[in-house]
Amino acid sequence: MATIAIKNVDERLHRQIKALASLRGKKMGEVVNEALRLWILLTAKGASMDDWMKLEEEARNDNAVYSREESTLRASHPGEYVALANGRLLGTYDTAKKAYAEVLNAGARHGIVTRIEEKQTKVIDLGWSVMEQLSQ
Amino acid sequence: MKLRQKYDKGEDPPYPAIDGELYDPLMKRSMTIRARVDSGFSGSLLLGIADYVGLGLQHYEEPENAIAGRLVTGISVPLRASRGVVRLGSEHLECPVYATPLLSKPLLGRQLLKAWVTTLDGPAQTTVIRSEEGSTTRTRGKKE
Repeated sequence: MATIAIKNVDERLHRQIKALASLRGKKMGEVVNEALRLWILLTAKGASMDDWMKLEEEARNDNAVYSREESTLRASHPGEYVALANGRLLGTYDTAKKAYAEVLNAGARHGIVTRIEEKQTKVIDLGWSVMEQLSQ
Repeated sequence: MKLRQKYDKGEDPPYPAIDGELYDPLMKRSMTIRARVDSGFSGSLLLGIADYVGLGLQHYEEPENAIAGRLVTGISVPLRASRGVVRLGSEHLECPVYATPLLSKPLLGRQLLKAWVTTLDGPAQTTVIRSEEGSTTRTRGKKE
């Protein structure tokens, strides 16, 4: 079991939790574990969090390879499509569909397919509905 | 194309919604979605992770430095970005598809709304969607 120190906990909330934990005969650590499990359940909205974490790990590996290779690809294959999966570069293709198919053939959990070009980060405004759903 | 779709009555007052079919970019897998119309969302389609992974869209992602989500509070949040094909009636439209673990009900935003004429008929609790003649929507089906 991990030991963690948490700063900036709401004092009133802390008193309430201590009182409730005491009434139910629970230790603070047990209550925090319950709260964290509940938070994951609510945040995952029905999906398997374990699967999501594995996917995140593969995505990190694929993105690391893409970051490393991006400038070389821009110089050598501009305008083509690159496919990455299983933490390696699968190849470059003249159409996105060929690149998609190659990722599927690799049997990976995650893949990246993108056009090789200079990219600015595109910011997507999520709006209020996301906040509404968070509070439900 | 002209479609009339009933609002989502899961909330009071009911939410304007659009029913459609979402395909992966290779058109191998599909799912029926009911997306809430949200003009405050600047993207095309936003899914929760269960729908996103269910359709296998994590296989066709953009690199993570290409896209960022921004909450109304101004805070940036990571957003997964892939591609898909939305079918509404007889029309198919290729578009980016985004996902965040924060969501349970899909949202349809301005990036898709600009492809059709969308009218909210409040008294009838109905969303009316039609494509204009000469629309730039990429169609694979036959127009109604």
